[in-house]
Amino acid sequence: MMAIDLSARIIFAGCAVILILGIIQMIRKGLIKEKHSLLWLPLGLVFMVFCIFPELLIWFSAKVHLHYITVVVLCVIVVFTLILLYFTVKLSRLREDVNRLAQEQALHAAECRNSRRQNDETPH
Amino acid sequence: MKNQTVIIIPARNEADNLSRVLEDIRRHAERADVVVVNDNSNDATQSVLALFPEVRYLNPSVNLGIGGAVQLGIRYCHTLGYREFIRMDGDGQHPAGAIPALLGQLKDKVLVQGSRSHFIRSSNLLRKMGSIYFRFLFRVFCGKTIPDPTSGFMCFGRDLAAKFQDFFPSEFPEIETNVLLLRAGYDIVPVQVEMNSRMGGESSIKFFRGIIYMCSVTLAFFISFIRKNPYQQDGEKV
Repeated sequence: MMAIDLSARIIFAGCAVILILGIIQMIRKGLIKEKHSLLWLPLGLVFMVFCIFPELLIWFSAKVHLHYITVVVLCVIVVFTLILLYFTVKLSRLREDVNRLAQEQALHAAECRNSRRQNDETPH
Repeated sequence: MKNQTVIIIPARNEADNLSRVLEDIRRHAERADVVVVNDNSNDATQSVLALFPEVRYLNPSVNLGIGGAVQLGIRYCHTLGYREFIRMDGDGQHPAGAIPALLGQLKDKVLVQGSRSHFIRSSNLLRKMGSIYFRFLFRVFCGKTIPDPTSGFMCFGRDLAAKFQDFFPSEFPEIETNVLLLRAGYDIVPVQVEMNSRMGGESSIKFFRGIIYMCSVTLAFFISFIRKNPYQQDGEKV
């Protein structure tokens, strides 16, 4: 049995539950697109399970033949870093798209303005 | 009879300064058309533009930032067929009277950059150290002496405008374009210009921001070295 205070477990479990509820609420409000919820819901659930039962972490690390929990935690950090990187790339691409669209919109608006001005100035 | 020269002014919330800048241009550079890119100002910048009906403007619906705004202006002016492009800031630091001097140095494959002539008199210590630092970077890594690499007062021809249309850095455009252009074999010609001073902000905030700025620009400088060069001239090895 892991030597963790009951109070600590409750706090961890509470945080995890709040996280899950927060994710669900964001999905309901449409702050997270459906395809991203595919990532966050399972992640949140797994996180909650490990928070409530930290012993599972030991069992899991034994199963994958990584007998140091620190290494397991490091692996998890690496995975999260990759996820962050992916979203950063996505964000940069989106920003480029937005800028390009805004430029084209401004160019079109200016064209309309100029042709309207030319029509006004053309003698009838 | 259409003008060959256009002045591109990116402006965001420059209602106080813009009319002065446009008057200055009217007085000293009537032969040049003006295009103002009003980058989502939420002050009276647009109403200032109404006072100058000969000035064309562009209103992107999203805040593009300095790089995106300048690129938008270049795209517009390139399509309209201009041959000589000048970029000025909207805050009044760049005097329109220096435009003939810049145009005088304009050649093919050249970027003319107006540089501050009075760094020594600059009261801001951080500014002075910054300029020495940037000059050092360019001298050591690019082998070129650029007295004021962050100056936005630029003049270039249609060939460079075509390159800028396809790519123009969004974050620190002056430094990044300088590095990329030098790498691609273009030349940068500095022209000394007597610039007006800008009203400064509070010094304590400026110091901290200044340090962050220096780190970011240094990063941008070196990234411009390792990235694939979008200004690479066709048929030439870089």
